[in-house]
Amino acid sequence: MEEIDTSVNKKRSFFRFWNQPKHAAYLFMAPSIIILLFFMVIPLVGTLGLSFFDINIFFTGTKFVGLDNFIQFFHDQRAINSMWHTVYFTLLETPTQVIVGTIAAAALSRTTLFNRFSRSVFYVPVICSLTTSGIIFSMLLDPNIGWIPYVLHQFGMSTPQFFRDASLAMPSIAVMTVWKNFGVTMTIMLTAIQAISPSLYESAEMDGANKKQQFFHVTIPQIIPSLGFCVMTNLIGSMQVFDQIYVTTAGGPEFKTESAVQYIYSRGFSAPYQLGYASSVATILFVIIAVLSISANLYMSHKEKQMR
Amino acid sequence: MKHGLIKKLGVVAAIAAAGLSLAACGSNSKSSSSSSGKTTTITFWNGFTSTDGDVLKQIVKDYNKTNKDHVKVKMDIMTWDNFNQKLPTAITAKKAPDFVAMNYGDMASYVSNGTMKEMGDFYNQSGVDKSNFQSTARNLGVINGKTYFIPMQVQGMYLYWNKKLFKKAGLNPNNPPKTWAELATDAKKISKLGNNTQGFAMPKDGSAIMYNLLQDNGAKLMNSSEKKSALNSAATKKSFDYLQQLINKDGVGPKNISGAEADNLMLAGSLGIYINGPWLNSGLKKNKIDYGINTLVQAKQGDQKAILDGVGFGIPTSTSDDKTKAIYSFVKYWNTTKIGKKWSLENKCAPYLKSVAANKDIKADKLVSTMYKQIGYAKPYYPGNKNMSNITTNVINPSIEKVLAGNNTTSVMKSASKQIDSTLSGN
Repeated sequence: MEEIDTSVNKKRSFFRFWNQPKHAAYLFMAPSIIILLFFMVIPLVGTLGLSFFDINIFFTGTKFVGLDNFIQFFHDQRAINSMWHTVYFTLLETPTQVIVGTIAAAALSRTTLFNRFSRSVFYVPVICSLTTSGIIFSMLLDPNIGWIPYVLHQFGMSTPQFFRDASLAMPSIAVMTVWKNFGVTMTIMLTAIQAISPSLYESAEMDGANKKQQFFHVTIPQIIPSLGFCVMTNLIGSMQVFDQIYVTTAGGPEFKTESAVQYIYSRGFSAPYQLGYASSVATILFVIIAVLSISANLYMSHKEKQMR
Repeated sequence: MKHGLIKKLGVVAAIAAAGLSLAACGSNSKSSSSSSGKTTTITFWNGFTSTDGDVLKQIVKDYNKTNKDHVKVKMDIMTWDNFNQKLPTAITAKKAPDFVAMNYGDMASYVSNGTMKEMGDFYNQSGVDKSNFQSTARNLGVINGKTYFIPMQVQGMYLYWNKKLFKKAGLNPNNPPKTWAELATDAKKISKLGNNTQGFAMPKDGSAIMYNLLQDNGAKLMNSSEKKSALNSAATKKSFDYLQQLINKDGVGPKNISGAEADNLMLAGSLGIYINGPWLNSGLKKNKIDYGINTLVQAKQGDQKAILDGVGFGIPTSTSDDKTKAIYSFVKYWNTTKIGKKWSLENKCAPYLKSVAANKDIKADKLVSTMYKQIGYAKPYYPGNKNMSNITTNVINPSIEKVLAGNNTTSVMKSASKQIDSTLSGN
């Protein structure tokens, strides 16, 4: 009888312990922590560890080389170029997407049937796979079989080599990415704009502010936190650009659209399978993204405080 | 202990990084190695995604039905790109298939990393006649004196021409160019037909064409010890200048086009002359293109130079001895006259078994016998060199792109030569 009591008591105290909010919180966090640990933290630490070794994908002839891989990066023109291409893509894509998404959100903020329909249409590319979108754009812009070059040709214009001309290739990829992703930015900004109190617009109107002035002096200051979030997520996503380049130009012409992630992939997962060196470039990219993200975050927080 | 930790970290990082690409490929990388009853199931990866894949599927199906060794081949066909990305990761993660069909150019790097089994004892199996294999084909699978691969297919690059466009351009449709100079003359005439018609296409990833051109002109990639680059030469410059003049200056074909895009042009009937492997035949036939095929053009009339390439069967070291026996059963079946003949005739491939070459149906097939003629004098290009696939991907293909884009050929050559030296020295 006493044994049963002890067992019931143990169970009760176990549930009581985990029922306390400060302990239960850990239970709720556990799934996310486990996922983050296995899919982010461990691979990240693994990548950092590998970057100090001369190691191939077959793990044969492994040698500790210290910082040699990082030194090699600064002498590898293709690697440095791939970083510049990534920054160039980010500078093209991030502001364009945030601006287009914000303008679309402002234009479609009123809940009418047409606006609701337009929001759905603009969101459709988001649910398409990036690879599929890349293939569609490759075909649309192909100088031989593409519909867009054909139309331009009919109007007497020369046929642009969108993905084959070094100067046009990266802007073409950026435009495709904006088309594919601006629906996400639009939705976030839409939520932010709809949360603005109508009384602010009424006061602005009474003060004689026109629509443009209302947008810049009421809407923008109110959506700064959401704007900051969009800039940050787009920035990080753009710095990791891979799929659309892989499908459309494969880094060409002459590696002029090769992104950092693509270079890392080709070094690590195709001949010469230099996993150690690829890891060191990945580590450098990680540091760059971290610095950019923290700087952007600090700037947006500062701006937010200023606006208030 | 330290090495073990590195391995574990490496495996986790490699698998995590490869996870997305493997998932995207959507194929099961798990090695199905279970034996149910007496049946041994062996998994087989290859890259025959075209119509040749359909023939291969039929052969495997027939083998699974008829073989008396209780072997079942479970095949996974993917693009060669996917194959080359998945296989190293699968080997490292100990999820490799039981056997593969692999391009000869890629084999040496696997062998040098100790990931492939020696297969020399295959030729000692009862029912295998070693002397029936052409020695050049057999030697394609020999690396450092040991046999690692058994022939599955041999091939070269051949000259294709569109007879309809030849007629339109006032050329004799039954007289294809025999030399690179004649090719340039004919291609120029065809490109003047207009309406998006191209005379000749040189893909930016056309290393196989480039290697043939370099070899024809007497240029070499490496010195005889294969430890230093020998690319920096007048013969290389001549080859680069020839291509630049043809594509960039004379404009007989597109400047920036991939192999797949060039194939499409030929299949659409808007390309006059093209150089490609035997796999183009099926598409051309399907699209009802009036075309011809001939041995590769030469630097001089009467020369006989060409590169021999192909696909071979290989077994990763993770495969057990029992399964190796089962694989030998299938490879033996593949190398019978019946299957060799079927593969050659249906895919328009040159045979490498003497008994197949002597068959009257093979001799009567014009396309196959033309290809067979070239196989007779073709030689492998730097066989067994583990750096070849790296040099092709990271040095030669980018150089082709630069040459076609109009960059200075001397500086492209010098830079490529430096890169080859750096690759060979292991930096």
